[in-house]
Amino acid sequence: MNFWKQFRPKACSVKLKAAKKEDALAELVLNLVEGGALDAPHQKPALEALLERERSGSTGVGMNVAIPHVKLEGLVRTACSVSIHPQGLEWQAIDGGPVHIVFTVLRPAKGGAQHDPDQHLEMMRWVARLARDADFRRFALGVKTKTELVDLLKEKSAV
Amino acid sequence: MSDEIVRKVRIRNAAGLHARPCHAIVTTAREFESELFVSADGSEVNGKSILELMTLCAPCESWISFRAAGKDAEVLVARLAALVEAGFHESD
Repeated sequence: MNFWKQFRPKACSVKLKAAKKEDALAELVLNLVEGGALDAPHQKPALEALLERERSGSTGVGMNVAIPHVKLEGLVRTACSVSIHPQGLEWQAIDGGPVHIVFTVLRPAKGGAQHDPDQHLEMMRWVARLARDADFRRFALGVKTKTELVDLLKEKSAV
Repeated sequence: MSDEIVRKVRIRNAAGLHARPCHAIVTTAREFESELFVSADGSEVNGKSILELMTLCAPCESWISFRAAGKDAEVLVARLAALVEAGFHESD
C-alpha cells in the first residue's frame, strides 16, 4: 500500500497552533495550500465543506484521532495531510477525548484519471488501521519534523 | 447470564460502511450496555469503535453481522439492523 505517497511533508504539521476545531480546520487547509497539495482557489470551498461536515457530525473518531474528510468539486486528485496538535483539541469526539492526530482527506467529487473512487474507501481503511495502532499514535506524537511524520506513515505501511 | 444475539444484514447505502455510517453504529451502540462485535468478510471488530469499524471497509450490497452480548442485546441489534436497512439515512 503506497497511500503514504499522497502525503507531502510540507502539507503536514507536527505542531498545529489553533486553539479551536474551526481554526484548526482553517490551518489544515492553509497548510495543504502552502504545501502545494491543494490549489489556492480550492481553499475557501474546502474549508466550508470541512466545517459543514463537522456540523453534520464530528469527525473525531476516538483514540485522540480525527479524520476530517470531504468530497470537493473541481479537484482532480486527492489532497491529504496528517497533522499533530501536541496539546490536544476539543473536537466533540465520539469518546469525548481530545484530538491530537488529524488526518485530513479532500477527494474529488468525481472519478477520473487521477482518482479512483474504489481506492478511496481502501485509503480510508488504511488510515483507520494506522490510527487504531497504538504504536503509531505514540510515535506520531513524538516526531520532531514533518518528514519524520510522513516517514512514520511509510514505515507503518510496510507492516 | 447474558444473551447473545447475532444478525446478518446487507449494506444498502451506495457508499458502504464509510466513516459516517460507522459513526452512526457506534453512537447507537454506546447507548447500550451490551458488548457489540461487527464482522464482514471474515474479520470481526469491536462495534463500539469507529476506527475498528472503518477497517471492515464493507461496500454496498455486502453482508455484515452484528453480534451483541448482554441484557439489552436484542434491542441493540434490532436498532442497528433498522439503521442498515434504512441505508443509514443517506440519500446517495
